[in-house]
Amino acid sequence: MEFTFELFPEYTLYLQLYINLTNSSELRANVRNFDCAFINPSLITSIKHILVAANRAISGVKTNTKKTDSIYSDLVYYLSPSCNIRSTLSQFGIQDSSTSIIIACFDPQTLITMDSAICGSKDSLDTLASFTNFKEIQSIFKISDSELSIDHSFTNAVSSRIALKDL
Amino acid sequence: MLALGIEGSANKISVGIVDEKGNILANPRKTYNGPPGSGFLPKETAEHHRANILGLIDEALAEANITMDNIGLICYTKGPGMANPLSVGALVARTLSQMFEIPIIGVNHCVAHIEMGRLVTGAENPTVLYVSGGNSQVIAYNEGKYRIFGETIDIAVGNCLDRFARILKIPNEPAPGYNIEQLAKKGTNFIELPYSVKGMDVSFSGLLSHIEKIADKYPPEDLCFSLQETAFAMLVETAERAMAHCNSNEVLIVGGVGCNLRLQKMVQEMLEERGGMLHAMDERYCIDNGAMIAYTGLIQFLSSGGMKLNDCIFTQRFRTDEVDVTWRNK
Amino acid sequence: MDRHLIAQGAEGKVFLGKLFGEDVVIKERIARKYRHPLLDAKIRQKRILQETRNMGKARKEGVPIPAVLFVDAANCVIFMEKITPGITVKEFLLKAQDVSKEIMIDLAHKIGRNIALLHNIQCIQGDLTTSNMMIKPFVSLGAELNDSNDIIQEILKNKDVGTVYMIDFGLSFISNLPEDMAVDLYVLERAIGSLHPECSSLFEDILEGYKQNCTKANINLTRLSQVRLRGRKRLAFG
Repeated sequence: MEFTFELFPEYTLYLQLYINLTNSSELRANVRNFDCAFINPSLITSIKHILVAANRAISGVKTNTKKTDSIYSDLVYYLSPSCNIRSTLSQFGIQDSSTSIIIACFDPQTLITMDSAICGSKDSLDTLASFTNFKEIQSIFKISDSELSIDHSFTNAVSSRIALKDL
Repeated sequence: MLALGIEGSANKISVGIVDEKGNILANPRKTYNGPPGSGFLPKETAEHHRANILGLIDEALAEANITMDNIGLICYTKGPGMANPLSVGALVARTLSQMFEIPIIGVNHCVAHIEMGRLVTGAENPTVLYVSGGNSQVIAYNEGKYRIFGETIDIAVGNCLDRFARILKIPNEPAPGYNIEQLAKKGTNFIELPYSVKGMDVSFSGLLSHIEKIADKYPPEDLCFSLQETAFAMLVETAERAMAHCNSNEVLIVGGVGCNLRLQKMVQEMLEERGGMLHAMDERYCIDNGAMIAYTGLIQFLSSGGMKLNDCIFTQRFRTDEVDVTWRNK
Repeated sequence: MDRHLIAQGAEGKVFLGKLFGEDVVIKERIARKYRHPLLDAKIRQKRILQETRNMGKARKEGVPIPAVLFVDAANCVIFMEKITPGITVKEFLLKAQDVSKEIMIDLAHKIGRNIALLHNIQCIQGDLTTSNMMIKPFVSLGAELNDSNDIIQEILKNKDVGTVYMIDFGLSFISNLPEDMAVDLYVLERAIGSLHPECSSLFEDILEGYKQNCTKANINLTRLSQVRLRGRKRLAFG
């Protein structure tokens, strides 16, 4: 799937979900060699969650305020409410035990490259909700029940925190 | 009918003579200033007023070409202000009233500034920015009173400027604020200072204490420049907010700090963006003067009568919105 | 990016636009020419951060607030969720006819609860009026709401008013002073009194909702009665 950004029309984000991963350790060890972000689907509330984080990461590049040395690790960093780079990258990124992963990149060529590197099968992002661990998200993001009762939207709760992080 | 007004609530002592059409027949004034580095204290200020008031009365009568027999009303500043200096005006007024058997009326200093402003500029129903050494208020007329929409929660803007002038040992002649304004014109670097606006209220004490601490680290021109830019921006913001609340598109600036041309320009710039109009005056009428007391006393008297002698006291605290503005019927 | 202006005040402009394909409200704090440019930039930045932080804090407490999607701090722009369908409480009160007592009380209690939750975290809204509050009704399946009249009709069909959002934190600040909380309420009382004089029990009902949810309700309401007597301003030297 591909997504454009109203504020940054030169960027297009490409997403692909992989399930039944068999080489997650190998991928994790080589994360820095790939021009993409590895995203843990169980902590993603919706595609919009990824877009909000990507928007933030792009903005960091444009304003010279990147948190990490790459737009991709910034993207993963901004999926999380935490300001601890190391823990967010491991929690929201790929882990040795990952059986599914979302690939995010700004170059469609990379999708093809990743397809050879990943030992797993592609799946549609329409199934994203089945991967989401809402309980863990509620705990990590510290979302109270009264906040959820506003509109029952995890994405809204999550995006508010992301948008305000490090301001 | 002619009214004689005595103003002496702070360091200016002035006697004014007006007629009911608002013609100002005389308005002499004397200002007491301490040496550079000091302000004015109540005791010395009152002594200055006592020493000068009778001479000013003679001067005013001569200028107007009349005698006390032509005066139909004695007006004086009842408050607010400094007690000791206020007492001089009150005492002289009461004495004159009894000696010449003339009615007497005590006037609110802030209301007098407003009415003088309306008279001199012709502004009908403006949002009033009242800024002086003793007051910082944003006022608008509503249902029989001059309502205070916003004010300082600690010191007045003029007080902030005066005290800063003392830190820098800027001369007090003709007025410390005037000298700050001249120095500020030569300033070029903007120094970041605390900006404190809460709703329609402002606070200057944080600004003052900060600038006191850094007073020896920067050239005085830049300090004065930055102080004005910051303090005046705070006033303009609150005035604009009050305008939005009252659906008004005019501002009248009164009080001594109203003489400051930078402040006038800033308010003007704000108004230009909304197509509004500024009413400002020069130092004859911005600064405390006797004519404003005479005029306000007169219109008050003509609408609701004079005061009993026993009620002719003076008071340090006298809020603008305590006065029943009986002479305006909207 | 495409956006169109829907409101303009002294300090800012409000636009409607799209972000991530969805409708958003865009608030921009504009530069003021009367201020020195360095001072102007500092003030605008400070306020945009204050506004969004307070929105975030309030939302965490359970106050319905539009979700913030992006903050362009350098240009002082906030992109937030558009509440749809939505109608300001002001417009609802001015236009709706024959509103049931049930709905009015529900509305009032929800408003009171919102303010209480804010005050519980020492957040002062700073400009409480009925134009700063928005109703998002429950929408029955298949209903098409094309304008404010449709929205009003939808609300009147329901037993409760829906969700009441607080939508403008531009003047908000943090304070634990009962005086500030009382003034916050007083500003709303005066606003309701002048804009909606026919809603005679609205403010009392709001205070009911406030009392039920605010931990320091008694202190604040006592202070409110003092504020009413003085007309908001403290005694001060001349």
